[in-house]
Amino acid sequence: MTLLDVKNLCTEFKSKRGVVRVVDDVSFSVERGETLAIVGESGSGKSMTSLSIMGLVPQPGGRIASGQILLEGSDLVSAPKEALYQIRGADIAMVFQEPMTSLNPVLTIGDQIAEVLIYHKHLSRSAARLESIELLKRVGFARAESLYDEYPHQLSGGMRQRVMIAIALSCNPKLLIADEPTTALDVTVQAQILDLLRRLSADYDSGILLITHDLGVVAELADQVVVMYAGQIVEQAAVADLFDYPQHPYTQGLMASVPRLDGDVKRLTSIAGNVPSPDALPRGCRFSTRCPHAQALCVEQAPELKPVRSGQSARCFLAEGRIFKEAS
Amino acid sequence: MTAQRQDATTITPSTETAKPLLEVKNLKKYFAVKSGVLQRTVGTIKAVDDVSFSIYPGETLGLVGESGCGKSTTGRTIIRLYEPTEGQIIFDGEDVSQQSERHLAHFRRNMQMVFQDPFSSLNPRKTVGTLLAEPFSVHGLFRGERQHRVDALMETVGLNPALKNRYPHEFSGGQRQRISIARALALRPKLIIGDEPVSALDVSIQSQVLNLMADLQDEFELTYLFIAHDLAVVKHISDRIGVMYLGNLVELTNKANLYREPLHPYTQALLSAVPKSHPNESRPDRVLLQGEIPSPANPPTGCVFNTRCPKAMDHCRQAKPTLIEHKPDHWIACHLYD
Ligand SMILES: Nc1ncnc2c1ncn2[C@@H]1O[C@H](COP(=O)(O)OP(=O)(O)OP(=O)(O)O)[C@@H](O)[C@H]1O
Ligand SMILES: Nc1ncnc2c1ncn2[C@@H]1O[C@H](COP(=O)(O)OP(=O)(O)OP(=O)(O)O)[C@@H](O)[C@H]1O
Ligand SMILES: [Mg+2]
Ligand SMILES: [Mg+2]
Repeated sequence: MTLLDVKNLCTEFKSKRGVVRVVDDVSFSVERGETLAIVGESGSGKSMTSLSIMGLVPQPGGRIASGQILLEGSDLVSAPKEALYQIRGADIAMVFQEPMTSLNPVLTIGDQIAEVLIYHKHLSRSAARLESIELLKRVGFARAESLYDEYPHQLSGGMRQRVMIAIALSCNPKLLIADEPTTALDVTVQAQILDLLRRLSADYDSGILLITHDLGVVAELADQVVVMYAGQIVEQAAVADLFDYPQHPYTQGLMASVPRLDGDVKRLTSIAGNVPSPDALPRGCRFSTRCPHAQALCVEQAPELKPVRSGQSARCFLAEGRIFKEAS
Repeated sequence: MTAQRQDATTITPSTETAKPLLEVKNLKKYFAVKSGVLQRTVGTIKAVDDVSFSIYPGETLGLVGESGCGKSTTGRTIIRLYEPTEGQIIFDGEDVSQQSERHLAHFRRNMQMVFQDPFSSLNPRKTVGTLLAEPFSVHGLFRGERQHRVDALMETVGLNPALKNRYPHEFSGGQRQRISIARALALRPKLIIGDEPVSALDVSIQSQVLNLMADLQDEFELTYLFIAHDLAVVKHISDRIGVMYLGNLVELTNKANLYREPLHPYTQALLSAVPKSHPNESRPDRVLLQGEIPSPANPPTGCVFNTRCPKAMDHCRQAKPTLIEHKPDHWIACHLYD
C-alpha cells in the first residue's frame, strides 16, 4: 500500500484582504524507502504542504479547504485530533528548518528525547535514557552520555539539527518530513546530515518528504521531485529526468541559475522579475509574468498539470505542445 | 578588469607590480566571554587569530569557511565596526587600524559593507529614497542634487526610481538587496565588503544580484571582499579565495588552483562535501569530517584543524603551522607541506 498519498490538497488563509489559497490542488505520493523532494521559490507553499500533512497549519486563519491526505490508506484530514497526536511522532515525524526554535530551551537534550520515547513507546525512564543515548550515537555524537545532560544553547546549529533528527528517529517513523533540514548549516555538516537521512531510508525503509530549495541536496537524496511555483505543482518527475529533461520553463530557469562548481561561465542565467504574491496572481499561467516563452494563450488561460513525457508531468502549454517557441 | 574575469589563469595581479588596495597584517580580534552578575571575564573567544592577506585593486577576494570560523568578524574588523585586538589594516597605503573615529571619515567613504540580511539591514520606517540619500547627508554632499543622485543610483542597480517613496517591506528580498547595494555604492567607494550578500536569496534571484555585482565592478572598478559559505557562488565571483578555519586563514590562492588542486586537508574536505550537481554523479572520494568543530574559546594547541584532520601527525598537535607560499601564489598553513 502507498505510504503517503496526497490528493488535491488545498490550504487557505483567511485575512483582511480575503481568502488566499497558498496550496492549490496539490497531489503526490511517497512510497516506503523512497525520498520525494519538493523544491520551489520562497513562498511557493512547500512548508504549508508539509504542515498540512502534519495537521499543523497555523491558527487562526489557516485551514485545509479540501483534499485528502492518506497515510497507508487512512485519511488524516478527517481524523479526530486524538488520533492525529498518536500518528504524529509515531508514524510521521518532522524535522524543521530552525532547530533552536523547535527544541525546548529549559529541558536537557536527553530529557527531550526520553520524553518522546516514554509517551509513544511507553518505556520506563531508565530504559528511555539508555535508548536516547543509543539514538544520539546513531546520529553521530561521539560523547553521547555527556550530551544527554546538556542544554540546547550549549550546542552548535549542526549539533542541534542532529538532535532533532534523533528525536524524529526515536519511534522509527514510517514517514519523515524534513523541511529545509540543512539550510542553516555549512556544507561539511550538511554532508553528515544527508548521510544520516540516506541511511534512515535504507535501513528502516522509511519514506522521506524532503523540502528544500537547494538543487544539490535534491541531487544527493531524492528519487522523485515535485517543483512548486506560487502554490501549485508546475512539474513532477523522477530526479534524473528532472535534471536531464526539465520541461517547465521555471524548472529550466532554476537549473540554469545555479552556479556550478564544475562550470565556469562569465554570466549566470537568471529568471527576470519577481514571484507574484498569492493575493495578486496572474489570470493565466502563474509563471507567465516571468516566462521567457510566454505567449497570448499563457496570459489568458491557466494551464493544467499534464503528462508530457513518460513519468513526467508539467503545467505548461509549451511542454504540452499546444504552443511553440517563437523564433527570436 | 574584464580581462581578468574572462581568463581564469591570469586572474592574479602580479604581486611585484600591483600595489594592494587593502593589506591586512596579523589581524586578531578576540572577544571576552563574560559571566555572572559581575560580568567577570572568564575566557576569550579568538574569533580572528592572526590573519594576513592583501586585496588588489579591481579584484574579488572570496572568503569561505565553516559557520563561526570568523569570516564576518574579519569583515567587520576591517571596516572598523570592531576594534582590532592586534594587527594592521592598511588601506590605500595608510594604516587605519589605530586611527581615531574622527580621522576615519575619508576611509569610511571608500569602504562599504553589504550585509546578509536585506530585511534587518534597512530601517523599516524610512522610504527607499530617504535611505539612499542618507550617505550624502551624513557626509554633507551634493546638497540640492541629492534626489537626482538617488534616482541615478536606483537606475544603476536596476530599480525603477518611481518606487523611491516606498518602504523596504514593499520590496522583495532580491530588490531589498539591490537597495543595500545601491546604498553601499552611493559614495563611490573603492572597496565593498559583502558579508553573505546573496545567501538569503532564492536561487533565481541570487543570480540576478551576482550578475549585478559583476557589472558594477566593471563599471566602477570596484574591489570586493566577498564572504560566503556557498563554494560555487564564491568560485563564480572571485579571482582569489581564502579559506578560514577556527579564526585562521589556512589556504589562500587563485580560484583555478583552489578548485583544481586544493592543498589543505580542510579545503579538500570542504570541496568534497559540496553536494553533487547531478543525481548520477558519483563521489567516491568524499571525505566526511568526523567530530565537532572545537570552540574558539578553547582552540586546540598546534594546528587548529588537528582534532578533525584525517592526515594529522604528532607534530600537528604541538606546533602551529604558519601560512607560507608553497607554490607561486598558493599559500598554505599545513605541516604536510613543510
Ligand atoms: N500564518 C500565515 N498567514 C497567512 N499567510 C501565510 C502564513 N504562513 C504562510 N503564509 C503564506 O503562505 C504562502 C506559502 O508559504 P510557505 O511557508 O509554504 O512557503 P515556502 O514554499 O515554504 O517558502 P520558503 O522557501 O520561504 O520556506 C506564502 O505566500 C506565505 O506568505
Ligand atoms: N560580538 C561578539 N561577541 C562575542 N563573540 C562573538 C561576537 N561576534 C562573533 N563572535 C564569535 O566569534 C566567532 C566567529 O564568528 P563570526 O560571526 O565571525 O563567524 P562567521 O565565519 O561569520 O560564521 P557564519 O558563517 O555563521 O556567519 C564565533 O565563535 C562567534 O560566536
Ligand atoms: Mg518553508
Ligand atoms: Mg558570518
